Amino acid sequence: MEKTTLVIFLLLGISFCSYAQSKKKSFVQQDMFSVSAGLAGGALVAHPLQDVFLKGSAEYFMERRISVRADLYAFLPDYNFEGQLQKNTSLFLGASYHFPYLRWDTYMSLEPGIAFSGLSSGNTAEKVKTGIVPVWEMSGGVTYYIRNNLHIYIATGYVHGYFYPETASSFLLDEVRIMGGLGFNVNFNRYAPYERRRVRF
Amino acid sequence: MKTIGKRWLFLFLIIPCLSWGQKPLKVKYTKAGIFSLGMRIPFGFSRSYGILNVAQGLGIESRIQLGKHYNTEYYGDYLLSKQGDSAIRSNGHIGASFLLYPQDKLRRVQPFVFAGPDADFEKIHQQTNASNAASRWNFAAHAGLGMHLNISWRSDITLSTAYMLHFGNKIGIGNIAEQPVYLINGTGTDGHLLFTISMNFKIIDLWKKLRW
Repeated sequence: MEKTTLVIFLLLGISFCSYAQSKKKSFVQQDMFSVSAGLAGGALVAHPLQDVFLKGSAEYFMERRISVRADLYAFLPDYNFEGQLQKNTSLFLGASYHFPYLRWDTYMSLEPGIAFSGLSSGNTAEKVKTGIVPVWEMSGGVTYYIRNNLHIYIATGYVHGYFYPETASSFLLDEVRIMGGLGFNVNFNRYAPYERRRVRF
Repeated sequence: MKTIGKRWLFLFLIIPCLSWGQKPLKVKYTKAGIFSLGMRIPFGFSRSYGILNVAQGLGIESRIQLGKHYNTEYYGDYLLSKQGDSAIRSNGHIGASFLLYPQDKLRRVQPFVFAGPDADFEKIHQQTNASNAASRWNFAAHAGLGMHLNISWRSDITLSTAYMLHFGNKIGIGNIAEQPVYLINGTGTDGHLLFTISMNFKIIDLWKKLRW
């Protein structure tokens, strides 16, 4: 009976000492720099308009879970669409908070920025005057690191801002955007490269 | 004897469960000299002709901490809003704040009071006619309350509310040939309430790097 009790205590004690197995190392580490490019589609909330953007991003992980992020949305106009925004290129700079798990990374961002907006009632782009509009964006997305230097991402975001064109009414720039693309990342640190476990048969 | 041996064996087996030395050490540091950089999103609330005007903007800020309870902040921001129902108002602020923390330790939520001087550039123009405009430079002062939400010991989100009072030239509306014209109209005070969200990151310990 005493031997049985001792064996039971030993087995229970092992689980309390197994710290190495409880934490799985994530791919995302401090000092990682990543750039990405992709497409973004947006639907304005207050107007029956849709936008398409080319999106570029650059991000640097100041800590494992916190990064500084810059986004550029290059607007692709449709000059034949009357009442459509002719210019809506925007630049954002802000921060992201990450929830990394193995090769997956879920994040949320808050970024203030500037939009260069222009609205035309006709179809001639030369008559459009560009307004500088302070905007901000809240977004969230998921990134998967395919290789040590390659990743793909998908994200969604909400942009808010007011544009005041030379008409009597204001133009609400609020927009829901969905974006996705491909990126490249490098680690500016001394950590060992993240190795994918090879399946052995 | 056998019982004593088993007891010692049991105690030996549970030693790993008590080995807290594997946890990272708490590093003590002085907060004086820490330099931070951040981005801010300001919102301004003002009232003109009975209409509440809400301004939105963006800005940058930096901080240099002087001690455990004292911090200084230097910022610049730009706000844009409608003024009344036919004018557009844009404000550019540059200023500094002195922050006072009542707490001793760095905690997850860190409240503070702050106040400081500013310089303000304001321009009001008619929305349908940009040439009908007036602008002025003013000195201002602000004071308010805020709190840091410390995400980690190096990064924080700061929420703050302040009232900013401008001193100097005022912009008003005159009538010329029954048309509204924006012009400098006397001197006085006017103010607006500012609510700011900012994200900051502690970059470097200046005092340690400069070896003062």
